[in-house]
Amino acid sequence: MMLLGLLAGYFTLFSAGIGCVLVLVKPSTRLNVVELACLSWLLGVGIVSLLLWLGGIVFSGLALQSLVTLTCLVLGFIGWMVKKRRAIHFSLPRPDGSLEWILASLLVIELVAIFFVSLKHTLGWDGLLNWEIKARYAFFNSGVLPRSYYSSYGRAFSHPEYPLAIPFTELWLYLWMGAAHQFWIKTIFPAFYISGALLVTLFISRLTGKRWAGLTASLLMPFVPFVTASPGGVIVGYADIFLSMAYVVALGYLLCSFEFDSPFALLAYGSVLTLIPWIKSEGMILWSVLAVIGLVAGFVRHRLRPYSIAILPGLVLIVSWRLYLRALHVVPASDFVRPSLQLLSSNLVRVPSIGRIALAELTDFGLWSIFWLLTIVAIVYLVTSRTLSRLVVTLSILSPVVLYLLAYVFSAWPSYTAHITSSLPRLLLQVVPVGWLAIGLALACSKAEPGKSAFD
Amino acid sequence: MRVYLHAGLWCVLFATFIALSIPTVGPALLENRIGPINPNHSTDSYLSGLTHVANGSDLFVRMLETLPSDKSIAILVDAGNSPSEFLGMLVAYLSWPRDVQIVKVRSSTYAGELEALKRASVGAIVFCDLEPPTWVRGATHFGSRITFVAAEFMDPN
Repeated sequence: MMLLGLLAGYFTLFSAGIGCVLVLVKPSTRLNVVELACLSWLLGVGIVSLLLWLGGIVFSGLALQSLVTLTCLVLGFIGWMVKKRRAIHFSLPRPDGSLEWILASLLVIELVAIFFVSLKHTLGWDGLLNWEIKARYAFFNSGVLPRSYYSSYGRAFSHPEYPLAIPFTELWLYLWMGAAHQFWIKTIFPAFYISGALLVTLFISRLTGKRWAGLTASLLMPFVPFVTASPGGVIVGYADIFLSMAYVVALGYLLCSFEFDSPFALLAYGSVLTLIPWIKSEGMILWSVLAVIGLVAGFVRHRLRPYSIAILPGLVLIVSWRLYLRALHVVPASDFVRPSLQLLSSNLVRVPSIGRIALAELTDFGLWSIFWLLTIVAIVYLVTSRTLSRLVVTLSILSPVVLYLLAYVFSAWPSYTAHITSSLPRLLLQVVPVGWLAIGLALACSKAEPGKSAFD
Repeated sequence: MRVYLHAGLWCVLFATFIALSIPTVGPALLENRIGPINPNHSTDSYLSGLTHVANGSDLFVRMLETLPSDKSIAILVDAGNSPSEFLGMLVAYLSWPRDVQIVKVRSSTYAGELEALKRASVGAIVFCDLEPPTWVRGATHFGSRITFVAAEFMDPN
């Protein structure tokens, strides 16, 4: 019965996501079903978690669950109607040649293995005490996170100010299962990884016209030890893999939007971009990077208006969440102090130490192997190609890393170096999939002709 | 020529990358096994590892049910001791919907913190990887690292 509930929860999530994706697609398009499934999962998570948050302000219990279910089903129905009316066709392109068959088969085996390996581990510290805790408390309170939780100093360790994409996805499945279940809930985390990895394959294939390059990059991604074998990786239920995948997916669609002038890609960019600050607080930095890059690209291409509109939903969400937290008197976060010029000047002495520790982290082969060396080589390739999209990928790797490092200037921990060593690897993880995107683009060493894309 | 250099460079880089990754990634993939399929899979596993109590989550919640629901719980943890602090958070996690306060103590502040808690209106004090003072009566040990004391037993007189 519980498994049936879990499946029903997944079905509604996908229904909402599929409906949303199909609405974004223009008429007479062939839509890759892998892309549809992956993007539907990401958007379904966003839609359901937002509905639970907003609906929970007014409703609770069965009324809340019914409202969200109905909305998911209606979205799925609308999507199906749109598919028929716009003559959208689903397609599943087959690998071409023995190399692609081998790489694709290995990738499928690898993704299945990651799914099962994820089930072997417990939820990690953050997975349990930052994310699942919120889902559990909301589940025991008729689907609504109690107001007292936000202002509870005794539970400030669980970061009540963190956004709700992951906890409310977990809550949704709990509501359907009828129990807060720490085992089955782990199934969502490999799903984030799998959807992101497949979309990275697709973006590299589209942007270079070489599917083998995309398959190779995705196949090698889990060999970064921190991705699969460390606290913070895919196996322990943290937010960083999800955030990293949402970041690379938004970037991928941004690149496709100006490489192929695709309206669907632009809409998908805006949709996934909105999800980023809803996953984790650091998502604000990643969101800002992609929003600024989108605006600059829009300006360069004389299409500022659509790119400005694309960032608006995310902006509204960021402001709304801040206002909501303020209204509930949330316990203030204590990891960083409010930035000021005075503090900046007095703490600038930290910069050399921050750089030194960062270098030590980046060259820790036990965490990264030589992934960062591969990324640097890829960046050299991309920079020398002197094309806008390749420079954008480079900026999307370097900007968050620099911003994250600078943030430690404002660390409020008694030992800011301890703060860096405890959190920097997880922040670096957030750009790893973009690193693989860069490696895939460099590996292919060519650019797809406009209008041609390997998976379409 | 350029194509061969390009291919050679990436082959060498990828081979080195995989060779350095395998010793870390391989064992991590093989360790542990799936299950048990249990609603408290993670908390039970942590409590079992740290306190050696099986099915600890349910047992702990049942122990809390003996307390008045309107009183908060003070959780004492040893500042700087990771297992103690983690146990404190687990106790707070399991104590919902009761109000909790986590008090990080050091040896120099331990006695003072206890004095303050006696005056505060708490229902119980939970010592996480900390020895309660000898004058505490009626302590209930939850495995090897958690000691639970109802507030009425906190008076040395």
